Amino acid sequence: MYQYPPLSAEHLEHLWELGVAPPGKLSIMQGETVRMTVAFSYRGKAITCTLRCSIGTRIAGVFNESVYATKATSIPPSVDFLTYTAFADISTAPLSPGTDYDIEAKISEYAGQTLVKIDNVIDVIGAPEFQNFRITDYSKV
Amino acid sequence: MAGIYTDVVDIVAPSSAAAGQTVSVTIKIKNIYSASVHVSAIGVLDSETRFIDWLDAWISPGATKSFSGSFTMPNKNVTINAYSYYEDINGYWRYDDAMSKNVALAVVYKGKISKKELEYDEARVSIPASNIPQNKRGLVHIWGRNDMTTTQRMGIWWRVTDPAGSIVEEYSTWEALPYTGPGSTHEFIGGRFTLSKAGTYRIDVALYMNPADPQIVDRYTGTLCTVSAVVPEPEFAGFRVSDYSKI
Repeated sequence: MYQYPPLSAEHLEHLWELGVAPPGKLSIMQGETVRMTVAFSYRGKAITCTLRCSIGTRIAGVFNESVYATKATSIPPSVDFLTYTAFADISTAPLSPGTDYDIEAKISEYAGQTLVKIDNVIDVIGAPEFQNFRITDYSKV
Repeated sequence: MAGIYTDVVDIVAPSSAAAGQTVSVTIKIKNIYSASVHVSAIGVLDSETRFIDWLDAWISPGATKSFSGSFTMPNKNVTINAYSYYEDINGYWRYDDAMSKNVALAVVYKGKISKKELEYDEARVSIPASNIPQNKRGLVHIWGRNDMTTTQRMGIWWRVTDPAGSIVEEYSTWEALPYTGPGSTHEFIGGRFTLSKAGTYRIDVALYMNPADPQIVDRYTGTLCTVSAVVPEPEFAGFRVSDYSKI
């Protein structure tokens, strides 16, 4: 959990990993780990809650969650809205190679206030795949 | 009536004092002669106790000299007698002038702030109170106890200030008939005010007796209560995925 600003060293490191901002597309190799970062404002009593970040497919408006990660998150009490960021790291090993995976993120205990959905933002590359295979020339050797 | 060489012009002392109190006295003697005079002052309590004992000084013509001393007030009215003596040409001390002043035994009023409570909503807590929820309506209750052997009319005054030092309540009154008997208590109830700020509220309370010449018999100055800020229910805003990346 980071309060923003200032950016923590860990967050700066995260930025160094060249994350993709929505609705940009992220291509990954099957089995790689995806770090999903959320930002939000919060006010109220101190709570410990669960950030849940998921990758799946949405069919007819119903999200079929394929992989997810959770992270316990503590938020201090505040009378006024303060801004925070948090992240969860999702292992994509169970994902089948494919394109246009959808993502969701929420605070599980406050899903009604926090659930967000973004479609068609992750491609998973798995099976050997060639492109533009051609003979470029031929010669004596 | 002045003497030949001196005039006891004043006895500076209180008109009343409580038993056991130290009473300071100053005798002022003026030289009314045309030359300097060697003068001695004597202060006597009820013709028994000499508390200014032959203090001497040369006094210039027309000048006034002060001679000071003190005594402990006994449990009765007393009379201070002041005398001036001068030294004659043969070295003998001669009586010259006198003055007297009565000091009455003052009544010492005794009472106690015996209980202090803060009421908010339906709850009552002792003062100093802590963790009162913000924005509650406060009401101060103060009990005064009469520690005299006679019935007394007690009075009260208090002032409540908020964490910023602003006055949120000031209250004062004298109790109505019937007054408070020996050993009994009287409850004073102020007006309601809102505990609108988080932090420490303070109160200054004074318990009085003797409306004709009010005397503070007990006092409390300190914390009334601490007020805790109301934390809103958990609320999120602007929740979004800000980015995603491979790691």
